Amino acid sequence: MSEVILEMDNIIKKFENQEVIKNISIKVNKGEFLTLLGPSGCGKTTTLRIIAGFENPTSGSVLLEGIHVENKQPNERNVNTVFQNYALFPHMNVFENISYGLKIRKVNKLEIKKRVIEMLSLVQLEGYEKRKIEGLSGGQKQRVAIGRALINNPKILLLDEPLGALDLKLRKQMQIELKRLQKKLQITFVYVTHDQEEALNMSDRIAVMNEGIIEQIGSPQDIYERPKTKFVAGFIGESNLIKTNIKKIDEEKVSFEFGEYEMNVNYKNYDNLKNRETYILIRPENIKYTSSKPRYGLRSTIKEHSYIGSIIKTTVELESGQEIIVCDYDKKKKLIGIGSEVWVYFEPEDVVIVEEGD
Amino acid sequence: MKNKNNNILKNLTIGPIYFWILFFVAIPLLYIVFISFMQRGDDGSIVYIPTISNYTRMANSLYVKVFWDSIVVATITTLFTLGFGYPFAYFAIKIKKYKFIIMMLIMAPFLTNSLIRTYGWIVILSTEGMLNHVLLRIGIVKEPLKMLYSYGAVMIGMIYTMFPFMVLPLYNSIDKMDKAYIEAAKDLGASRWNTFRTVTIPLTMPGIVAGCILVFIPSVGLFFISDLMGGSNVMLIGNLIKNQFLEANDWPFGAALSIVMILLSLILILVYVKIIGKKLDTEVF
Repeated sequence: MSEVILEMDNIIKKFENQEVIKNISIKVNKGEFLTLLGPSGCGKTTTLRIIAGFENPTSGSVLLEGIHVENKQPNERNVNTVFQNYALFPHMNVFENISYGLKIRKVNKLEIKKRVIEMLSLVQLEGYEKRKIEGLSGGQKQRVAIGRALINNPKILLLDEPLGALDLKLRKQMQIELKRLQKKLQITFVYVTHDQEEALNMSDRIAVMNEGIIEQIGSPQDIYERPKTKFVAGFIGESNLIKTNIKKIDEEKVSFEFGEYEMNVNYKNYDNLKNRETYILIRPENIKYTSSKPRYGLRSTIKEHSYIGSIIKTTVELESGQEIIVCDYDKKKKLIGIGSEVWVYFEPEDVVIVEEGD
Repeated sequence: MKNKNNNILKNLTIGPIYFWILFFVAIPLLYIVFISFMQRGDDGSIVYIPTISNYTRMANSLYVKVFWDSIVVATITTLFTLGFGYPFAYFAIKIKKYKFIIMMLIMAPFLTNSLIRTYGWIVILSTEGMLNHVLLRIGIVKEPLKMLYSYGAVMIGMIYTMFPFMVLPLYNSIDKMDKAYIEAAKDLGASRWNTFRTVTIPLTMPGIVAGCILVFIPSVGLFFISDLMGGSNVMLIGNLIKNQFLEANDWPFGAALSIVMILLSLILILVYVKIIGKKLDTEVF
């Protein structure tokens, strides 16, 4: 059992009667890389700001290493933030920026110098001490911001969409570097992003947020392969959601309607299904279509093929009028013409039952 | 075709301004420079014989004192308006709700003539004035205080008059500063005071310097406040120059004094440019 470093209990945050965070409880383990993932306006940045101390929760508690900090100032908490636009001090050079936290704590000059040099080498900016912030590239500013935060040995490093301003290639590279840095230093990271790929790539656990609540917390695999709600399924990756009725739930399996068939899935993932009328999720890569009738399948029509580099994405229309996306990695396969009648089918173990959500 | 029209329009708008600057600023200024090297005739007319005596005359301790006093008064005015103005602007921005009302209160006096407002101060501060009346009534003083016609009274008048010129640029630069820097400093462990000292002040320096210059330069030359509130006890450069032109009829000496005052102001602007460097054209006002 790993050690809990941060605990948020029943956090509610209102801004002028608007409830931005409705009720959040979360535990973060020491050394963990936790990502708060969600669309803009879901409350993820506010959650981060509550941890940092820039906002006080309207109610609820924040415990850092078991000590209540919800009413403490940011400078009284041993957490540091990497800001969205870096917020590097423009009137200071790289050295002065990185050493700021140590100077404020009146660490002696030799020690500061030693630690800044170490930090510069850690973030791969050796020799940049004297540089002005103005002249740095986005990626370099990013590294300075990370160095400036990490030099204070924070218990938790908070990162607010730190890669948002970088171009795609640099973003990918920084993802790898950040993850490497986090592994090396064993520091707890709480990372905010709206980019699902970034979240899947870097995190130990992901908390998917929507409209002020956490819809689901789990490992990237959990979140992707076993989303609990329609929102999580839709937000992470591409998904086909088909409305269904639950016929029966027993100890071992859930039976649900699929066209004229009844299918079963393993029970254990669906402990508290609220509604009988719900959705099944099948990822596009797990769905197939064929022109000859399979053992079970749904009748549909091919609407469109589109070629996206490594895959071919086919849109088919079910008899109900719903469109389903099918991904095929086998590009050599002869495509079935548009307008042809086909059957879509999948393996029962690839089906996930998701809930409507609140 | 369109371009040509634009050019005509451009010249029509800018033309009068060039005309104005040429005839009402440049030529009079050159004339002042010119007569500052001339002599005064016995009847107060200008005698066109070159001399530098108008400048050498200023070395007299009497005039040095006038310059010195003016600089001291202007410096104190600047320091006080900065001391009051910074917190004022800072908190006006913090209480967002009333920001507009507070700034209106600062701007409102501009709607009245500053001469009239100075008379207002005389009504308050004079021996038979309102303040003495109140102090006598509640028994704090037995004899009415002599507040008017002193350096103190001039200081009050100056600080009062120059206050908006300090607050406006300060307000602007504090308002424009990205609050993320303040959060970053706090996040890195700085207390409120340290944040203010190491981040807020340096980042609002353009506003501080702009405010100081906007207050200091007019303060050096302002004459009606020291005239009205300082009486014969206070003599500043502004008064001296005014006297040369209107009373002593010594235009060449008055012109020489004006030139020295202008040079003094120019030096200050150069200092300002040095401090702010190439940021001069960004976000100062």
